[in-house]
Amino acid sequence: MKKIILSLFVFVAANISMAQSTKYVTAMRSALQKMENVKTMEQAEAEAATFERIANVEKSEWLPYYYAGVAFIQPVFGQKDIDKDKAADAMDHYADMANERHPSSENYVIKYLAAVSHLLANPMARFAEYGPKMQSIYEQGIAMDSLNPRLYYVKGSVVMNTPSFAGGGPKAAKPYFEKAKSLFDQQTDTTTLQPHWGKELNAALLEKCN
Amino acid sequence: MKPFSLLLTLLGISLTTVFGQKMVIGSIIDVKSKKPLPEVNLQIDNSYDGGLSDPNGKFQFATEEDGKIILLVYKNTFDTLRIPIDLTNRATIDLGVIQLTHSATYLQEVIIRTKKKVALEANMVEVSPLDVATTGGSASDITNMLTTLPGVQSTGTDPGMAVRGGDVYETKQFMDGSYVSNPYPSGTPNTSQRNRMNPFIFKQMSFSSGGYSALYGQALSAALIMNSIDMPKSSNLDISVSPLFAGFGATQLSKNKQSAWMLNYGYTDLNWYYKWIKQRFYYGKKPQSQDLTGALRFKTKGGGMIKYYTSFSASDVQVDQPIPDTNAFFNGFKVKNYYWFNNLNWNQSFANQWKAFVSLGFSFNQEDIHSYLTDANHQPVASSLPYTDSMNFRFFDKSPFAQGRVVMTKRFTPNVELQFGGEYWYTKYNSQYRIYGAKLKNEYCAGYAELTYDITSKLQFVPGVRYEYASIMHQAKVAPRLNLSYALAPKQSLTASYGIFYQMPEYRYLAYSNDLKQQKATHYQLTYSYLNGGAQLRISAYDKEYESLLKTSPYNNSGSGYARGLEVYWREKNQLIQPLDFWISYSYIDTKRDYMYYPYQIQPNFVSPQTFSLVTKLFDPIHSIGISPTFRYGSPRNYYHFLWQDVPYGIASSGKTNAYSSLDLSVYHLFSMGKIFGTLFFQVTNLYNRNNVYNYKYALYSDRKYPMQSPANRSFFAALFLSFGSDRRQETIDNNL
Repeated sequence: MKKIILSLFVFVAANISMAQSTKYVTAMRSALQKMENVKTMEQAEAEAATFERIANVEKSEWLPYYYAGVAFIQPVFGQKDIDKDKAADAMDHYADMANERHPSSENYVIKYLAAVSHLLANPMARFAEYGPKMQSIYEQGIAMDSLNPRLYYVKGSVVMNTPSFAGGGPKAAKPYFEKAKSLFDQQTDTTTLQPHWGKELNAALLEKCN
Repeated sequence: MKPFSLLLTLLGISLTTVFGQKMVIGSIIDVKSKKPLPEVNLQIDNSYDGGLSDPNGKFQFATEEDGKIILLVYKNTFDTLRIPIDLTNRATIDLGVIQLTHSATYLQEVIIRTKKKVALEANMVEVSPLDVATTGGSASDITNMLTTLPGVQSTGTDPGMAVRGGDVYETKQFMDGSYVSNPYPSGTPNTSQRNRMNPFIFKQMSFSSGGYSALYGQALSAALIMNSIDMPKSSNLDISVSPLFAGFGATQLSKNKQSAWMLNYGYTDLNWYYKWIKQRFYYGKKPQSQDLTGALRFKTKGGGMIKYYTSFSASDVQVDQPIPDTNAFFNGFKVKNYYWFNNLNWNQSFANQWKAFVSLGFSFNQEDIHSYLTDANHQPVASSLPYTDSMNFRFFDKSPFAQGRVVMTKRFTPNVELQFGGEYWYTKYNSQYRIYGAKLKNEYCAGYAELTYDITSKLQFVPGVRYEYASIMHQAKVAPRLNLSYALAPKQSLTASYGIFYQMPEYRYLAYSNDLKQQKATHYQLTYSYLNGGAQLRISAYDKEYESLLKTSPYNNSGSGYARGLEVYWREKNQLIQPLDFWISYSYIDTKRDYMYYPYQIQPNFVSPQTFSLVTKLFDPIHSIGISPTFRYGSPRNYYHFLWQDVPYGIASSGKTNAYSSLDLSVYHLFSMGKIFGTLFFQVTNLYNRNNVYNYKYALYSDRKYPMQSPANRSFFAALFLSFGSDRRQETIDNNL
């Protein structure tokens, strides 16, 4: 289970085109750059608050809320002693807010990770509740966009860290990473604010499966 | 970043500071607690500028805005503040201490997650199917698991739960709103029985050991409220095999996931098992039973749901039990039982915060009990000895039961919710005992209302009232229920409960007298609870006063009694040592009652004044092996030598049993083979083979007595459960993460 924590390290590329240098894009860029350094829960909260302030002004944009949710991924999967439920609640909250403005499978990636975080807080007691929940979130995300590589990547990470006798493990996870890789390779829009993280992480996990 | 660009950046920042950047500083506290509030977002309206308060409630942020602005101060569950500030010609703006107020909806939000009625939940323990299945020694029996909770005891001699000094029939069970009239198969006397209900059909079971909701009635002591699952997760086939039983189940979820059906069949036969494991009694016919259950689910428009559940079971057993008076004879029992239970319910939400729940139920119970005398070789014999006379009889009972219930829920404001409705039970009781036939008919109706009112964010008041009328005794009763919960601090609360509870005497007694009345219990309870993630501590003190309890010699309502006690429940779900889940229950009870054939108030012979349980559940996710040891202890019980010849009965002598204790162990392994998911399950109860005695039964005409014990000290159970299904495997993977 610890493998999942490391493997889900999220890198948000801030390689954003200067062409969109409005006030909004500048603010988003600067916030996304700071995202790389988010390690602790406190930093994630401050980061999410920054995005929330942007979202409050830009009432038609969904990405500020989306990235407010993304801010918690690193502490959840990289830090040991954090309140995983609190982080998961925040991720879920921001993903819902984003989805209200713009329904997207990307928000289901966040909701999926929020469910994983809830589960990790108490796996033994919660697998019955969160296992099916995660599956349902994954299916909803796929139904919205079956070409979102991040959905396959997060799903693959979970399968990879499931014991092999229960049907998990590298062998079972490999098809997910392969699917994600082919979709990441088709991803062209890597310079806008649109989500495009995960390619390198996926490649690293796929490497482990071989 | 290269040093040069760093320099530029630093320069840039300092330049903006010089040319017009302002600092806004201050701190934030909770208006009530006066404590610093972290994680409060501050934002200049229509600007990105702002900051977040730190763990000490302090904040500071820079802005280039100028002139008159509005500062928004907001945090989830708190009221948003809008503070006008003039930034003109100021470099540093110190806002001092800002006070934030909890939204009135704060408690509401907490409740939505843990369910609404905080004040009622303080009296309840929520139990999931997995809690039941992974409790060592329970073999997925709901009742067995619940007896590890404080205040709940197994008598060992009667099926059911004896709660806080109450007899087993004072605890009632409800499934999706329907009263389960016969939750246990009719068995032979002095043996406990498994609960008929399979825990896996429920999403949640709530057990209240006192002070339960006004929506339920006719239970003097406790209520078990069970809510079935809505939609199954997937289609699958299930097979279970064991030396004791075999079962087959199918679940079909429609493609659009709007409807589903389920069918299960189980066959239990203890023939082999009793050959291997020696039993205390002689079984002419070893216990055998068959169960067939079916369920249907339909989603309705607007997020509603219609559910139907039906269950038919048949059981058969013949056993010879010793007679305390003599070794020459045995008392044989032949028991046949058929039970059919049905529930149809509809749940729907409407506009303007209205919700409706309607349930209809029908059940039918038939039991046929032959009692007879056998000789030492278990051959039926005739005898003219005086004490054998009471042993030759046949009891036959055939009772249809129909019921309906409506619950309307209306939320007026986020802080006020009202539930009201009514229920109707129609019972026909046809029985034959020797030459005494009884045909009874009873119409019971009840109306109820319960208000949930969050007076402040910390104080919740749940008053309820229940009106009941039973036609058989031409008696109407009003039962108030009051619950008040106060949040002492986050995660800690103190709850006070008061309630009156009525219960009709059982029909087998109503058959003997026309002037029996409702029995009454008044509950007073104070509960402290601490709930923090997986950790839960609950300490309860209670007083239960009984009035008008049924007496059987002669038949009247002159009985009375009391139960006072202290209970501690501590559960920790693997926060410290993963993955370990455990709970500890301790109860102390002081209780006496005068009821049934008791001559005066005595401590009932089924009560242990002190009980203790330690339930632990270890799971190794790497090897997918679970080990669940459960330890139970019950302090010595009183037993009495009743003088059956006297009227009323006298007590010749009394004594104390040895303390009861038992260590039960369940071990299970989860595995998969291709598309098959399996669970291999083993269980041993009373691992150290302690010779537990629940009670003693005295001879009619002498002071001979014999110990009342389980059919065997130790019991064993092994089973293999297999599940086939395309979707199920994925679910299992997720489940076992």
